[in-house]
Amino acid sequence: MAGYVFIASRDPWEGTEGLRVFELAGSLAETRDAVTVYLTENGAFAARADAGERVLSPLIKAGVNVLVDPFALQERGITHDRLVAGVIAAPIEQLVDLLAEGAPSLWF
Amino acid sequence: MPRIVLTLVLNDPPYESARTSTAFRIVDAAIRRGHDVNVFAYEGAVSLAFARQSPHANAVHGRDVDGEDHPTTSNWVRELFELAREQSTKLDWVNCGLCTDERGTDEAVLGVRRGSPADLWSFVNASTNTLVIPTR
Amino acid sequence: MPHRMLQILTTAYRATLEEQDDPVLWLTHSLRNNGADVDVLLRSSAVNYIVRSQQASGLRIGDWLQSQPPDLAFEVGALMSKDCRVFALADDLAVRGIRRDEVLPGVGFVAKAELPALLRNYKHIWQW
Repeated sequence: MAGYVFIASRDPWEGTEGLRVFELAGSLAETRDAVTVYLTENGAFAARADAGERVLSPLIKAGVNVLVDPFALQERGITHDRLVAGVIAAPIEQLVDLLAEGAPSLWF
Repeated sequence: MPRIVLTLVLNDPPYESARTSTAFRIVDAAIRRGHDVNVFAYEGAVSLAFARQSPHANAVHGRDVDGEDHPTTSNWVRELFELAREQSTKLDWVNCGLCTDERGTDEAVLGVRRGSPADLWSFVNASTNTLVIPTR
Repeated sequence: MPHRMLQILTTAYRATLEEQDDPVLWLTHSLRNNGADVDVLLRSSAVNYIVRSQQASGLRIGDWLQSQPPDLAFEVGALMSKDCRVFALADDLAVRGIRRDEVLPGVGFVAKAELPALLRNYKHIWQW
């Protein structure tokens, strides 16, 4: 079971709204709820190494699955060798598979 | 993976947000995975299937209409219906009627039907999951 | 003061796939083609537009396959070749981990503290 599925579509550096998804994912992980965060659109900026560690590394360490849309990566010129450690590139079909499991799914 | 029913609630009008193309990618992927998909188009999203959209040239790039090959979201909707037929899955696309009235976009491509929140509620009850893609 | 115009872009990839352009960059090109003396400042997520390795091809919906994907780094470069100056906010590049060796040559880097001095050069400043 996927637990919660959060789709993070906003640039995390665009003000507090872009960070809310990561804050909530972290809170749920603290209470041992399963969470998957799927980064897409400008949310993929969080996956870029030397920048995204601040928001993603604590989540990954806490057991949150962090996936990123490879199309969003290529669209933004973020190569797979420049991803925050622990982030996994997952095509959109995998997001569909997560949705199909029926977990509450929120778009940020 | 067993066939499921997925419902998406869309809110954004065409050509305004990255969420539009992502939403279409999700529906496309879900149909290719063999799932049935319901789309409830709410607010500005009722314009996604507006039948009188037309592509245009691009003078900045020196491309005529054919060369620009500019997509229309209404054609994307047609493509999704065709894909569903090919995959033997069901796509049900409902435009919120009141949203359509206030925007004057009452000509939708074939297959799209006018509905109301009652349709959304039916979708939700029949679906494995419902994803709302909000606007800002 | 001369009628110089500064376009400030703050949001990246907003409907760029189905528009096959960034609407503000496109408009800037069009204004330049019509004789406007226009420069561009990229800030917030729009700083990513100067990253060289962007590649937006491959969008497929049903049987429709995009034949003219947007190429935003190219569009920025093309503006520079039309003598538009393009600036990017250095602070926004740094916080996003974008390295200088990853971006287009010729872009001017401006620190946040230098913005007031930059803005004083323009009669028209449009923020998008």
